Amino acid sequence: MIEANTPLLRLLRTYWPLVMLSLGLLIIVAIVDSSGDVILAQTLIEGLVRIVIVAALYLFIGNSGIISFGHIGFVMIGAYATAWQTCCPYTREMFMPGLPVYLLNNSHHFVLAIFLGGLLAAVVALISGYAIMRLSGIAASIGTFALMMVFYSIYLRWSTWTSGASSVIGLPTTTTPWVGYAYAVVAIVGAFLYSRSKWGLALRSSRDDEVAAKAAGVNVFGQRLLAFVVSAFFCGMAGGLFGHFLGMLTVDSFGLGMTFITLSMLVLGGMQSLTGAVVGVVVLSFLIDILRRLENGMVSGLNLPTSSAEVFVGIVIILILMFRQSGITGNQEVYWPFKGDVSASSAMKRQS
Amino acid sequence: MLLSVENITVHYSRLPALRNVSVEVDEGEIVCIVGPNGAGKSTTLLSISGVLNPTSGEIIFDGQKINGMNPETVARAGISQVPEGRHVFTTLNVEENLRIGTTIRNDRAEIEKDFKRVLETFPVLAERRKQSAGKLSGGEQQMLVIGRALLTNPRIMTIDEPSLGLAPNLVDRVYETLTELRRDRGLTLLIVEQSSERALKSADRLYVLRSGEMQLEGNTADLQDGEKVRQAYFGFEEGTPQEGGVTF
Repeated sequence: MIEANTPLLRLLRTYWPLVMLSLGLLIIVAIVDSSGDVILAQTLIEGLVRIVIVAALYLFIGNSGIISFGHIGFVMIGAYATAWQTCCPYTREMFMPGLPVYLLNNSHHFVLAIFLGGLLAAVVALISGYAIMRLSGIAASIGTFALMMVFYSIYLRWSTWTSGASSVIGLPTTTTPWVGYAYAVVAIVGAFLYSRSKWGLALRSSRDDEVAAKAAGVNVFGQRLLAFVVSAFFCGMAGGLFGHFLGMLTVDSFGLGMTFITLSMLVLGGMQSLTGAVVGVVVLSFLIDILRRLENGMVSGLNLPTSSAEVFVGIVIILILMFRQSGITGNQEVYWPFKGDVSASSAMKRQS
Repeated sequence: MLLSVENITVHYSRLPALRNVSVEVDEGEIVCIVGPNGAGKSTTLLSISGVLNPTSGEIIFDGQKINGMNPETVARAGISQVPEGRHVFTTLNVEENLRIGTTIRNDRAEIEKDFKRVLETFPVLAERRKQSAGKLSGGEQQMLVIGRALLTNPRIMTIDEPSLGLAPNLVDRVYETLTELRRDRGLTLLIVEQSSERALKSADRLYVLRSGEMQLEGNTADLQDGEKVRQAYFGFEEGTPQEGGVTF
């Protein structure tokens, strides 16, 4: 047993969840990447993109206590904003003739494009959040849901910029497993640092008790807005990654389906912990992958009907909400496994 | 005068809850507002802290008009509020709960000093520093909320019914702590209390509020026999027959 009393160990202990989550993902990526299984690699990349989204959802939902149904709108905004900068230089004018001249004639590097996509999502979140973050509880949730529907409808009809109901095809598929991993780690670090900051703490206090938070001088509206904007930024980047993973974009993929699968992952893992966000994505992605294979007749004689995976996810969420509302992780972070902290070891006992 | 509430009238929609109420608190004083249920005591505090907006009258804090400000701004101006019913942040641990009090401050070195001082004042909180606040007992939670309010570095602390739901010996302990805070730091306190006995024991001055109107105001030293307070509190002379035999 190691006592955590040297500065280095103390630092390690503080950032222990980060270390463990990045290492865990690293191992998964390395194994899948070397296995050569193409379908599994697809599941992996999609899972990594979803980790970015769910970590961003945790950043907002976990700390504020407000369930948001609107964040997939920001994923969509980021996805299209990235496509405007990188997609198909020769056919861009055909898909999106309404783009300004600069965007029609210039392409940005993938990393810059994704960053700018996140930035646009953050700006939209700042403007829309300025109205919605004044609401609390269920009213705020419904507000974010309405927001998602507004974005969805606008992008569906805005055919000169988004190709409307048809697809934008020909994005370079630059989101490899390792690129996905890099962004997943960036999102995890971002969400972790935010939660540890005094803003994260202030927001969590409003989650527990809004009256008392205000009485202690916490600007609840401002803190919520900050978290909303930061998480929208990560969601926007995830959108860019998603486009460069599929190589094409349709407005339809950013609707209720993606909203509920990502929320399910967060709920499954544990809404109030970052570890929960990551674990939820990994577990659910893995289960869905297996079910998809069963749907496609991997085991002969056992052909599950199409969309069994969706039904299964629904059942899992009902079970979690009935029997373990704090998710797989029980809303705890990865604990420090060594001696020296009472609360960590008691958390460990509760887990086992 | 540090805080003066001047002739405020407060309505809950159209229903008047306070009529022309005035309260004054001087630097370093302990002032109690007492009165029966529904008298308007909490309404008075909520108006001061910016949760309610008076329909007429003014609230002046340190020469500045504060009615109409929102609760966060009032807290930042130096009026810390301990709301009724022990509002701890249940999923945060004790230390995090206390830290919330410091989010409005930027003087790092002073914050650490105050933080140590609060832990010295409330040793039980120091012991349970890493425990979740939801697991504390009622008395400990009340200490935690007071500690958090102290860490905002207030010029005046307003407390709504610190004795609510606490065992009598814990109530003694809370009031002991409050009077010590006044003695050691010169903290100014405005306390809402149901029990006038308690108020007579601990406060310098006392206001009696009933049915939204101020009935009596005075130094506790002059009111020690309790007769005047009793009349103001219940609104009838002693000896008047009353149903149910209310004991005081």
